[in-house]
Amino acid sequence: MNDTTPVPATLDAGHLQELRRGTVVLASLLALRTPGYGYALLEHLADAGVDVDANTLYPLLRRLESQGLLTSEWNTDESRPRKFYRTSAAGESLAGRLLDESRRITDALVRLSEGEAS
Amino acid sequence: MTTPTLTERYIAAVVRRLPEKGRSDVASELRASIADDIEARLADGTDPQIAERDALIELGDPDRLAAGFAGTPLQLIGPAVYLDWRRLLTVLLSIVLPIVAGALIIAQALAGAGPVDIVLGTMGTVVSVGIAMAFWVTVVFAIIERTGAADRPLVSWSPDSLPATTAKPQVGVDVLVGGVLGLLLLVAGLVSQSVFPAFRDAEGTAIPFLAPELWSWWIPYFIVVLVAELVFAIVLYRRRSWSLGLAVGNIVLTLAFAVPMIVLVLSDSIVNPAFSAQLADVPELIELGGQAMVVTAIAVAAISLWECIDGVLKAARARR
Repeated sequence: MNDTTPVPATLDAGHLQELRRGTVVLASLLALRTPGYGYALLEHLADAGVDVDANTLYPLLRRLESQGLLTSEWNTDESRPRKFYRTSAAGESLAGRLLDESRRITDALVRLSEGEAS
Repeated sequence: MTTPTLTERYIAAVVRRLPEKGRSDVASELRASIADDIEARLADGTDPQIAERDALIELGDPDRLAAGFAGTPLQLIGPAVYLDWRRLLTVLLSIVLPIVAGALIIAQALAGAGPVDIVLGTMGTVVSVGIAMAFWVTVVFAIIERTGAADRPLVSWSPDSLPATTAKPQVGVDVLVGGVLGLLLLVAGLVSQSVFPAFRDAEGTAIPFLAPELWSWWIPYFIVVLVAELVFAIVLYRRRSWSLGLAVGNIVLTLAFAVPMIVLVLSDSIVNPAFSAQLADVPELIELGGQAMVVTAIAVAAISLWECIDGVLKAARARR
């Protein structure tokens, strides 16, 4: 059965945001296995297809740092001093578990959608 | 080089909300991030002033960003403790306010205040006590929310805390008691005023309390209304639950009783003038009687209003 009741755009956006919410932490931990600073990470994530706002990402980086999942270092070599973050060992291990969980959820969703189609 | 003022003002607005320790670090990082953003916008050919404005607009309200950095909640009372707050407030208000109201009424009556003063004084104080209690309970819960103690409910829920009332039928025997009692009181009052009169005239005939003209129409009318209310109570009791029709019937019957009663009381047509004349040499009693009439009218209005609302509420609850 194909139910095509139109869904309001705001409702759509709300559900999408809900689905994406947890993925920003995982994306950051994965991306920062190569050290990076705030604005560069924002661009990097956007290019990779992970939409996140600057005012969400910057506080998140500091929170992950305080939880020991990221380490940081000020780089003063260039004209503009920047704070570089890098995923710690604890961060790597959490990223692995989150990635496994994310794959498991995706597999489950794929099975469900295929089961519905057949 | 871009003009620093707007960016610096923004950074200052963010870090002033942060603990002293991390301020300079957050400020330096934020300064670099904003500069990077402006640079990228300039590279796209945006005017420098507009680029800075746009970069700051994208970061949004500095207080919101600061709350993100500090991890402070952006709500007064969060979902973890909201239900505890509501339950505590409901219990406190429903226990304390009736006690305060009762104590005030008794104290003012003993001090000799008039009925209108008692009603107004009590209502004013009860409202301000209620507001004060709601304020302080809310303050305490806002502190709990902000000290980080609020990641889970203060009182954990178990099935034992389910209310027991749901199993009971909505309508109990008490509705019949009310109906019978109203009729009995009226009959008892009518009989006693001629059997045990307070005053007798020169020939020894009883001087009734109620005005004799009421017999021509109003006393039979009220008897009919009270009988109708008793019938209504019996119907309600047999149905065991309220419905919209019953709620409307309840309103009609309540108004049929209350409106004429209030009009009669306020127009001073209830008491037999001959009865009042017996009291003429005690002016305090006359005055007290006048105040009693006002209190009666207010009480009848309040009780009737509540009965109408109560019926509608119970009908709405029964539909669920």
